[in-house]
Amino acid sequence: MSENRFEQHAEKLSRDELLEYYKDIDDGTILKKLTGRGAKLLSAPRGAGKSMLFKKTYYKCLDSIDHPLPVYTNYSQYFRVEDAGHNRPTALITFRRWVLSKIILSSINSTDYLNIAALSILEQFEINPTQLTRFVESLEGGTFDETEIELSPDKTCEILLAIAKMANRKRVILLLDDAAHAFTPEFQREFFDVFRGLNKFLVSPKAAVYPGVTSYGARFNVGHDAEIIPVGLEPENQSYLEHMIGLLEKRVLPEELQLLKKQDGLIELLAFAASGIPRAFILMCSYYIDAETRNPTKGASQNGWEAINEWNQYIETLYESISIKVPRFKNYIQCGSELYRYFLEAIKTYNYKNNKHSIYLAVEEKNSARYDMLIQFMEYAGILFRRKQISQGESGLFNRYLIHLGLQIQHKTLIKSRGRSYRQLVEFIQRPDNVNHRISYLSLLSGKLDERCSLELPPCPVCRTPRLNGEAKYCMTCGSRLSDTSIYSEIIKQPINVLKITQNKKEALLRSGYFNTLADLLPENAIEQLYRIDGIGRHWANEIWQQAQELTLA
Amino acid sequence: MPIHDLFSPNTVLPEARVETTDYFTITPILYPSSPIDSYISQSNDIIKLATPAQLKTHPNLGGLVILGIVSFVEKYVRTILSSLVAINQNCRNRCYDMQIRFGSIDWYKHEQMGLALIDRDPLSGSKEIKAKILNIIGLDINKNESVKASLQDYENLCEIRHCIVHAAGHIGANNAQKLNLPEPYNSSVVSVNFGTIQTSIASMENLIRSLNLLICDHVITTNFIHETNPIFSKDWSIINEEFSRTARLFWCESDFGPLDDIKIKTTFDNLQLRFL
Repeated sequence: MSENRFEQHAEKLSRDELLEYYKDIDDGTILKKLTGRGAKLLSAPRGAGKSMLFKKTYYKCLDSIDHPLPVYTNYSQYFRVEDAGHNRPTALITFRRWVLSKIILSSINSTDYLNIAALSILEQFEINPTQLTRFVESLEGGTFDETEIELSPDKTCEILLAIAKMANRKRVILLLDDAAHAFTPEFQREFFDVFRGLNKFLVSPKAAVYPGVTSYGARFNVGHDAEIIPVGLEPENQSYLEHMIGLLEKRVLPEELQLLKKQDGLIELLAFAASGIPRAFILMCSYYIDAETRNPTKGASQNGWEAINEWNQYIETLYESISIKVPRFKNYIQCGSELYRYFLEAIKTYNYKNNKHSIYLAVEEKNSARYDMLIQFMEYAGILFRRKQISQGESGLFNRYLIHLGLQIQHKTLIKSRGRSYRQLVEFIQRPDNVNHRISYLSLLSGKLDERCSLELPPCPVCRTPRLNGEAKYCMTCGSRLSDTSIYSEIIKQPINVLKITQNKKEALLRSGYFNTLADLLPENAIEQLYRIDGIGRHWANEIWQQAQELTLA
Repeated sequence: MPIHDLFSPNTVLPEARVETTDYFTITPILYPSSPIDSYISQSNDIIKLATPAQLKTHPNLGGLVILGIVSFVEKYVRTILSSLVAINQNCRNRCYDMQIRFGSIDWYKHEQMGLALIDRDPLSGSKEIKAKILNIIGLDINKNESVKASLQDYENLCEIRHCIVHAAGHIGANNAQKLNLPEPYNSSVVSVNFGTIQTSIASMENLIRSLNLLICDHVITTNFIHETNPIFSKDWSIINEEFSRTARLFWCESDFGPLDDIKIKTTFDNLQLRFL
């Protein structure tokens, strides 16, 4: 088992590591759909295993001549490209070229793996890979590059099919990872316009998206243009624990598994606390193993609770970071934070007072775009998960949610007793008589939800009149153009105060003189510099660097 | 026995006639500001009409604003081209072989011959604009990605304008094809909301600003910095008039404030410094 066994991101695993750690989420239906014809959208919150599925499909197809030629492309650098093209009329055209150029460059990776020289084909189509590489690198490095690259979705498909023919493959599948890694709807819409153009009889694009926050645009008809495949395991599923434990066995050493098993119910509880997100489960287990190895405890271990709290802190940071990434939604995120705490409190009160068993919450259906937006942001961060709507006769329809189980455990919503054990909580969650605690829409944020969820928009720079709404590009009083700032440049300018670390650590960073903003933490070598600062240490150096990366990605 | 009164009442209405002279105000030939400033001022004026509340009350207002914006763009291009023909010898040279209708010569004054030259040419499409700029100024704007992108937007807005002008907003097969609209839109009607108006105006402002910069660069380079006619070799007293006319044509008052003789001279000096 390699050093990389706790690596959270599939993109960073080698082929052998990936195949060693991979475990099917279902009976293989998703993999079948990914290798098959037709456009598909893999939808799930972060860490649910989308990249793992893509990578598994990629190697599966590469390794068998009977499968189509796979091309795996990762678009996680969206933000940098958006920033480079900010306020330029050709931003979308350049972005389109970037999307297609990356596909062509990724096809070279596939042919390299198969030991096929595809350069002659590119020459035939007058494509210069060195020029494409330079173009992609300069954009991702933050320099706007208007190099004319004659690439259209049609031409890209022609090139790919010619390469596939050379590789003795009949079809091509495009695995477009992190496809919704942007918060600018214009870029997302452009992406899905290209995606639609890439869908041909012998070329099938597949993209990884997030639930709720992805903008497909008017031209893209979800369901018709591409089938949505939800990814992820539901903790309520009977085979859930079996699957998660199977996944864990592939990642940990036998002695580490024994360490986890020493605490009755710990593995199961951590699996539930992950709420269906494998990355969360692996991370919590690794945290526990690390903490127990360094600082073994006797009896009921505190380290298990801390592992859960660590992950909860991560998802809360991720959720709150939306207001940094999309400042106009700051009020929404603030309201959302209050709302999910209210949800947790509501479940707690219900369970404590009535001695009932509830892990769900059902909120009265109300046609409110603002409420939907609030819920979508929470879904994106994995704070809550939608479940099937329920009808309560005359009381109407209710939207049913599973609130993140890790947060429920941390906030003690389930069991009143002080000395709760891992096993007790596992049994509570597994009870088949779990009911839905219903609450009215009007009780949310004391009935002021719609009033409080307003966009935070800067006023007119000339006459200071407030912006009319989020769509306004001109001041409706003086007619002046309203300027938008680049999201990325704003994000990286954030002070280190936004990091979820102790005040002492923040002060230590500031004292060093090297780290004042998130931008200072982004380079790879920042970890080494962080490690050298007194009071930070190896674990926190990594943690701080990871947080900075997460906060600056979509 | 008339039949039509069975379908609609045959009411006697008061007479209404279109008297064409009532529709125009006589204005001086010279434009009070540069073409770009005229564009920005007209565009800023029309933006303020289309508030979300007004658009809700008057659903046709959005379409009218689109007509206005397209018209302002066309007017900008017409003014820049005709003014350059009037003040720039290189452009005049390029036009020597072009033909003007007799009617246009008869109607326009001598200093308006630039307008006469493009009088019958529609500029409501990107192809026409590109061709005219190439023929009169000698500038190939196909090489500039920013302008090309914005001109595509202009082309689309012209097509939308077509639907508004000729079919009260209903889309025809030809329009749908040119706009690259998918099938569900085959029974659609132009419906312009606040967001789309704001985006249209922003895109057209980008077009005008990019065009103004591009043409200005080209004219200044070919007339004042060209190897055979270097700006440095000429005395200010000789070049003053020609340079001032060019500067006034491209100056953007809304960005740099009003233009006066001192600013013109400073601009000239800065230009010299940049190329020394």
